[in-house]
Amino acid sequence: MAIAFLRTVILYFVIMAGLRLMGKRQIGELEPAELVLTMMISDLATVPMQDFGIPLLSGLIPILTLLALSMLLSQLSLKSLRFRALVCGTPTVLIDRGRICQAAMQKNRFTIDELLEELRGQGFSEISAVKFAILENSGQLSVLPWPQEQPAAVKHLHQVVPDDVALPTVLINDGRTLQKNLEKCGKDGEWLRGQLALRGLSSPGEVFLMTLTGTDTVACIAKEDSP
Amino acid sequence: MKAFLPPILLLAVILTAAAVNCRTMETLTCRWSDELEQVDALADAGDWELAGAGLEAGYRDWSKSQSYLHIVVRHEEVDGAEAMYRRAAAFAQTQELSEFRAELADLRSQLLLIAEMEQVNARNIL
Repeated sequence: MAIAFLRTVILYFVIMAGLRLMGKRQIGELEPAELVLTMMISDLATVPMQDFGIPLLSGLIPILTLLALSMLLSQLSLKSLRFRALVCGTPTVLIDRGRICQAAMQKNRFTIDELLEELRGQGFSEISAVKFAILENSGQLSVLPWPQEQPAAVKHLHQVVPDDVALPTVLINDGRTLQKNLEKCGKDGEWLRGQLALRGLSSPGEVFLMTLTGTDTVACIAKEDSP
Repeated sequence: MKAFLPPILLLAVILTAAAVNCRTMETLTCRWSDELEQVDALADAGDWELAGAGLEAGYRDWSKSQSYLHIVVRHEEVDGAEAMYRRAAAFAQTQELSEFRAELADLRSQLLLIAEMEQVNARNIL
């Protein structure tokens, strides 16, 4: 038991350190701590599952240890910025005001081809269009273009538009009425029947999706006839 | 600070259970080993009746902890010791001194190995 516990603690930190040294681009979308946890737990669970000669505790102790360590690291990361930077790393600027930071790219083992690929993936065919490109801790590249390359927003056109953006509430989901949502919107069954009748529908069972936005706009998609 | 409590408690519980398990294993295997040493001395003195009874009592004592052993120790090691107990009992019945003593020596080292496997030291960890 003690050996399983101590080995897990050592392995956890060794793999964490290894992943941090490997750099961000190896990680993908998970943070280093999450990746270590996922990798180790999935592997640990299968060992006592397949080998009946190994006590179940040999699998459970490491898994519980990992979960506790992970919770502890998350809490420490919340409390200390320095610790968070140590565990998760810090974002790296790869393009700074249009200039490629070659040293940063080398440090993160990020090739120019990969940078161009990422930029193309985000709709930028030329580096000159990019003001900042930041390699995030998750391994993703955030791209901020120069102002003249940014798509025009309403404020750039000096127009005033009413604020009618609201979260739609689902009232009918695949033929099922969501009573709680209906009540939350201050509506009742009678109102719903009225809405259905307006669209030539007789029951919620005929509706695939019905939503209501805060401004009383109802969107309704009727179910298609199954082939 | 409250958020730190669950993981720290969990780690403390695991560590405590591990320490208790290490101590229990040491106590148990020392007791079984002492019993076998007495049996060995009796057989060496030619008192096969008492040696056989001692071995049987030792086996019963060992059997009582089977569930616990299977929970915390690799089954292969426990099964190995179980087979050695049975072989030693067979040698005690036929009163083959050299075979019996060799089997007891093997059994004692197997019990020591089981206890050693749970001990916290650099050799085990690495």
